Amino acid sequence: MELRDRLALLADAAKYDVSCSSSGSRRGRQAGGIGNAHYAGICHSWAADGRCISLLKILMTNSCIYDCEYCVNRRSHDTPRAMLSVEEIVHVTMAFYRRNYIEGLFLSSGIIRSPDYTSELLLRTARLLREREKFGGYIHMKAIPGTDPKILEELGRYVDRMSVNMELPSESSLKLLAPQKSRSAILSPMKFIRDRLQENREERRRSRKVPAFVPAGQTTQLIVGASGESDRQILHLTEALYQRASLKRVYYSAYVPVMQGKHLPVIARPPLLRENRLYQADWLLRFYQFTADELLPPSSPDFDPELDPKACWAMRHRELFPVEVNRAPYEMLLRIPGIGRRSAWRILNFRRYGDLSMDSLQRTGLVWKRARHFLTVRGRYYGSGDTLSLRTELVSEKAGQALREMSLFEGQV
Amino acid sequence: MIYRYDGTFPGFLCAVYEAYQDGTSHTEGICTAMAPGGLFSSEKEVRTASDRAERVAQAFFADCGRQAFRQLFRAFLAEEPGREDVLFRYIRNGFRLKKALYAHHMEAWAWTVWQWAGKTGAEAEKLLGLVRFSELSEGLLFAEIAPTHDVLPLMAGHFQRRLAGESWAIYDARRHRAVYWDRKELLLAEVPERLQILSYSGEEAAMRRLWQTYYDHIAVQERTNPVLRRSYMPKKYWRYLTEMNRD
Repeated sequence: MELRDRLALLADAAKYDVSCSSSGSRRGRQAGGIGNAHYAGICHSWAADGRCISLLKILMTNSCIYDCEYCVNRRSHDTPRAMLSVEEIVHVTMAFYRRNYIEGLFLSSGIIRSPDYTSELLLRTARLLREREKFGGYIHMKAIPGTDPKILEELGRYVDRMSVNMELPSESSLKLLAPQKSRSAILSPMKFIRDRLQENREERRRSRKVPAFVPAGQTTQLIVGASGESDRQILHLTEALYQRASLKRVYYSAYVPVMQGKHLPVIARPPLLRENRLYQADWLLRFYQFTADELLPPSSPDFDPELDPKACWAMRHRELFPVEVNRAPYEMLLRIPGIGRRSAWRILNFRRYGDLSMDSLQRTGLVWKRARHFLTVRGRYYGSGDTLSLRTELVSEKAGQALREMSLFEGQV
Repeated sequence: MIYRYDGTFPGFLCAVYEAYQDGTSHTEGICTAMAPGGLFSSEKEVRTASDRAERVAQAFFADCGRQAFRQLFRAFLAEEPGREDVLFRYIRNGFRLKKALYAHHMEAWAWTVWQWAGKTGAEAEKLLGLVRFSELSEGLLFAEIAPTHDVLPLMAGHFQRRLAGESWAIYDARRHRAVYWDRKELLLAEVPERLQILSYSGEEAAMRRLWQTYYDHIAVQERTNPVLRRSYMPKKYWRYLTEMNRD
């Protein structure tokens, strides 16, 4: 097969991995080399599905010894198989990077022969890029479960980010859909990376000469809608991953029904709305000081399709509102629907120079339509206090319509 | 008095310099040489001199701080109509308020400046990703852009750091200007003639096709969402994107 056809095939095979970011690394350019990392990450293009393209995201090969039911690359799937050589990957990465098409490489692979053998190939690619090509751009690679920690350790010194995909949120669905994998096999490289990150931080505190290990941290991905977990279960797992495995990000991938299998749900369209709600909640966990239990208490284990998680929380806690914008602490400002991190920060900033008026409040960029129901400005309340009409106000016309359209297609047939 | 300057940032600072020399109470406005004049006001051509511009810049920087100066520069690059008067007012208030300028940034006269600065900054950041270099036969990497705001000066440093070992040029087709890096020095030059292209390197066509193929295949069909794509990557940028132009 020609290079172009193989690249097409291996991009197709990689696209269900949703991780896209190129952030979190401050790697500088090597002397005489090319490329550096941009701490905030840079998006280079947006594909027809509206998702950003930052890294060259491909599989080394889509051949695999495993037979996970949800995966397009499973062994029993009758599909053409291809492989890119290490040199080919290096060449394409460098050529794309020079032209500013990409921010770096995100390399994953189906497992050929053994996890160790596959990881060795990834390692060789990373080493060639860094040492021969003196490439300073972003590299994200998969830590393949079952790989010898020694190889992971070495790989970690060349890449910026590593990820181990959990894919299925519970042990039972893993047994059902990926019987060759076990939860502990997935968790062990994750734990290894976490421990090494901590050690490395200590070592580097003592001497800056110690090379950085995975400076942009590790991430994972969960498939949403291929198995029966509730949103609450998924969000609790996410919280545990952030707190105990110190992950940088958890990505959610709405299950796209490309495969058929006896244990897979039959759905007409990927559950995009559910995925969106999970991302919203994920942000609330990471940046808004919410806990999973607050967002999804046992009494409501799934997200409200009409209302975002923050508005839902606020509706359940009407007794805390309205709050006075000129007095409320930062943590409370963050909890007001319609106020985000940036507007909360601006409110604090403006407040240093006196009380906010309606005018200056508008300049903080808050969404007045939503926020007005939950706050007072200089003691005055501008919202509507009655619960029922409030709910209708918060469900935006557009969202409501989109939801009705979506629910026609979505969900189990 | 109306001050006419050459449309550049140093030129603008020189106009400010002269306005202060003459006493700001006599200032009726600052505008570019092309702008229509007032019927009864007297006018003055401002000579752009880097030492004068430098003095104003230094003074403003020292009085109001780094961020205030940065906002001033970026707001100027936004090229919004009427920018001279808004920015002149910003500078005057700055010299009066000094470091306390920041405390007033939510007031209407300063807020406009912040908003403009934000627009320029956002476009520069977006274009860092959307610039597409083509490799010419002599090895030069060449890119063309047509940004809404004058972001070229804000972008050059990024590519200088990243592609220090390459020679490259970015051409702003709207302002007929280019930055050029020859592996040692950064050059900003007026390029009045539209550039004639030029011969590409042997690998160029193949790499473009390869990128286009990749672009097509990385999208998940079931999630096609043209509105979302346009909101991140507005159509005005498509003209110079390799993946959006097929030959």
